[in-house]
Amino acid sequence: MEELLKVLGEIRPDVDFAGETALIDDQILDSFDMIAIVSAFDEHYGVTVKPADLVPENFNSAEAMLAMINRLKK
Amino acid sequence: MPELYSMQFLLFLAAVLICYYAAEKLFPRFQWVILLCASLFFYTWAGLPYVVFLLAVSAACYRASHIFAEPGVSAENKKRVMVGVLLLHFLILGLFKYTGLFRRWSGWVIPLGLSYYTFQSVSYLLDTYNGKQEAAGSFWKYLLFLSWFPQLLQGPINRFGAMAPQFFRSRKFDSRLFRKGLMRYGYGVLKKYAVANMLAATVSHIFTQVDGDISGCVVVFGILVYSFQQYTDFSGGIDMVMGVSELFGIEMSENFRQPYFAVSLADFWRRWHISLGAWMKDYVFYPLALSKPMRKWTQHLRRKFGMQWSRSLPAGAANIAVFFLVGLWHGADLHFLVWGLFNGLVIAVSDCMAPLYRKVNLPKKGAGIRLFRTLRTFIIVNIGWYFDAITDVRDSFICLRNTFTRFRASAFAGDILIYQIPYRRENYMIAAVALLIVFVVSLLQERGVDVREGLLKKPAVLRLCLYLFCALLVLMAFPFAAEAGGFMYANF
Amino acid sequence: MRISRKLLKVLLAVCAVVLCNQAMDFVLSPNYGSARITFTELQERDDIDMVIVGSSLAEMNIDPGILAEKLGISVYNAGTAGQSPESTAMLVEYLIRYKHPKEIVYAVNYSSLGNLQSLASQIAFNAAYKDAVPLLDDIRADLRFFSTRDHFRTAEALSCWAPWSVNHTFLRPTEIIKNVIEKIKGTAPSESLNIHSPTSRYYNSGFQAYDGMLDYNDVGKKTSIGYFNEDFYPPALQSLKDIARMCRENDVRLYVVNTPKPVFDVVSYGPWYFEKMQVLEDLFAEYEVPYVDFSLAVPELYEAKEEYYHDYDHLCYDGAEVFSASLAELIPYFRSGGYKDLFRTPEAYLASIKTISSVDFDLKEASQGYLIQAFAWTGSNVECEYRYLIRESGTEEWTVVKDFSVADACGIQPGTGTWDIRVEARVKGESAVRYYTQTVRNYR
Repeated sequence: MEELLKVLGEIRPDVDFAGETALIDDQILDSFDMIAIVSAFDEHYGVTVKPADLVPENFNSAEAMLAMINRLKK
Repeated sequence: MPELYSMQFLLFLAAVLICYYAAEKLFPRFQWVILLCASLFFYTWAGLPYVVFLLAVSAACYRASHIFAEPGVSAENKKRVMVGVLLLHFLILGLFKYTGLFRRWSGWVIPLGLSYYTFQSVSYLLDTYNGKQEAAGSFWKYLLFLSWFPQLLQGPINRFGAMAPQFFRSRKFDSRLFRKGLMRYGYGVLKKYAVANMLAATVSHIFTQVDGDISGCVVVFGILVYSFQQYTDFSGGIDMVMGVSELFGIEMSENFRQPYFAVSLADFWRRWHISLGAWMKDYVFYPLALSKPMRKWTQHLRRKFGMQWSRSLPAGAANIAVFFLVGLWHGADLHFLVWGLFNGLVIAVSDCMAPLYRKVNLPKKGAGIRLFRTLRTFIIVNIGWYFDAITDVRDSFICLRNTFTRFRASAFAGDILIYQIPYRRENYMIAAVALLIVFVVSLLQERGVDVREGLLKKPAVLRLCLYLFCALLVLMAFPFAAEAGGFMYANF
Repeated sequence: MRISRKLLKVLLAVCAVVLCNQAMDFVLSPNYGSARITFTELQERDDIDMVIVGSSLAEMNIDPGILAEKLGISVYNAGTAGQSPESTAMLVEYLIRYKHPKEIVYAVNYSSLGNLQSLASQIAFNAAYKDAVPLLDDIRADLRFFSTRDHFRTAEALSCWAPWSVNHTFLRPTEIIKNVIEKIKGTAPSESLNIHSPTSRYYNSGFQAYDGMLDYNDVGKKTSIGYFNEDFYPPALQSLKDIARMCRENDVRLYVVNTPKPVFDVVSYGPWYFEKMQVLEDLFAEYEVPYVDFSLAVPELYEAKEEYYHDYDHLCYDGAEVFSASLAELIPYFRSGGYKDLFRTPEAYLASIKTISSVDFDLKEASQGYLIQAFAWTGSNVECEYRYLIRESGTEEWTVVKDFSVADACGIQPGTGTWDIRVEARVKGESAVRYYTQTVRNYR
């Protein structure tokens, strides 16, 4: 989780990823952010996030993102 | 195109509503069939032949979605089907919308709703292909999704996942929801007839008579008027169709969210024509920005130039492509493409600049900074309108240049007469009062107030007075609209 | 209990809306509205021998007092501003049912038969008509209204139940207050007209007329060419047939008259004009109804003078008096037959014109500057000369670009700026000049 928070923090240092739970629903992250996050996951965790995975359930919070990453790793 | 405020439409609507709610008593499981019949009937108003295209697109897409769900079919075949049906959609769209030749040869006009239902159908096709959406239960149910009559005229571009549960459940008459639908419809009528219609002639007269000496103050006046006319015309029409749909208890996706209160151009595009933006984001922007070549480029950029460029350039490029398509979707005219590219570029550049702004450490919150950002965005959006209101790109540049080099504020009163706008003082008075109402409602909605719920709680007399006042504005506006032919005050 | 309370609330709301509508009508609908004058006065009159019907062509060109005096009968002018053929058909039906006239004079023109008719006029007419007929006929009238033209499909037509919104006094406090006071006092609509109208006066029996002559040096395209239709609007033609048929079935003698127009209004149409008027003549001939075009009247019957015209469609008061006297002379010929001898052929008419009625010109952008194409509206035997002048807008002095010659086209190359361009025309060998001026902005 800490690693994830660091990665996310590099992209949007102004967002509190530890606390927020409606990153997509409250439009805190925009589509440009999503692209950066996805390519960061690609580089860091070696997972390929597809456009079909870009749903609020997977990105509303850091926990959700971590769960998705673990799923994709398998 | 049928007018949604007319005897013809109101009678049709009343008949369908009566049948729909009566059906709840008689055959609740098939209540939705009334909606399908009404939609197909509405569609044939536009001319019987055009129904063929709607049926063709529906059938192809529906069949494809079931092929995608079949386990026995190979992945390559599924891909082939998807590409084939996709091409069919764009072939029909391209043929009608972008080939004047075909239109002239066949004598046909663009089928009603083609731009909207094509995109809706593509969203369903891709979502079922990607497994995001379950295929529709029957062809007729899918057809209802595409042909639902309120969405045919101006959108919004709805998604099957959001609409299906609403269409296919049985529904009793609910007076509260019904009244809210009526309120929304009435609000749309106010916007369209008491504002947009009052201002349309001003815009058309100024921008079809552009010459090298046009005064900047006249141009700015025209663009500002356009920004209000365009918003009230489009969002007014949307409010009317949303209201109509709500009379049946069916909520379509929002298309506008107080766009002129946006704090950045990117924010503006999340508030203006929202359903188109969302479609572009899901079906063009993400697939493009996350495609293999783009990912490779992103990694290459990060190694060479660092985090910022690897984020901004690929996303920015995809964004420019998206806005090029948005421009193209409006029409195959150069000025739409320039407009689209302008928007795409500004958003891409803003994203590059974002870390710089963060370094400067400007205050994040506060009314002052919010107002500054809103005004700045309003100005940028209006610069974009130079390429939307003015259909000749050369004229747009002349107008832009003259805005700065030949503003001539003091000559406004005299210069405006050159354009012979069929204007009466009443046009602007009625529009101003109606715009004030729109502004107050927008402000409340921006603050999160549910204006309709709030109104329903107020005493009936107050509500009646408000409705009568709005009706007064709309009724008084009609003789001043440009098409009225200027027979005003002839003592009939 | 709850349901009936809700129902009561709804009923109360409906009553409130109806009352508000009536109140707005009282305050804003002009007491002097043309249709209101007509239907109010018609209701007060019985024993009318002859009624004039049609648009302002009828209302403002034909003095029923003169016809009454010369023919020894009682005459009422039921023409109303902007009366469409469909409205005229309703009017004729009303007249036949309630007033039983023996003769009807219908004034008609191009402008009556195009597809552009003022919606406000139709709504105002419908409202005044409904005030004069029983309640059941109100419903029939509304059904007819919505099946007329495109009313079923347009937004504006829904205003038909709020006529005050499309036909109201000037929106100035003094005008509105005066209107209300006059209605409360019961002032006659015709009196109200003379108090409020800035351009016309009411004289008698539904007749009102303009004062003032048109400026022949400022005509250009201010002609009825704006109503030009290659084919007359079919529903309008159908209404004409219905009118003719109703009159025939009820033994009412119908006479159809195209009121006189200045020469330029006839000639600027080109050959279309007489062809189209022939269509009308043939249509009415099928019902044995006489149709005449007063532009073709022989000078012994009606001598047209330029000062009779207020605009391209309407005579001024003095002109209306002269025309009405001529019409009174014509009526006996309608009754007995032989009226055709009092009208010339189009060729004879065109040959009889000796002066230039007005001038117009088109400005086309050429590669350098503009090309002026001039038109002098005159008879078939007149040779014209043209002179072309230019001056910078805002200055006084004209510069002659091309002096008088038979050339009806001229190129000009003004510099950058705003220019007034004037074309003068005169009959060759004479000195009297007619002109027209346009302003052009050259900032290419």
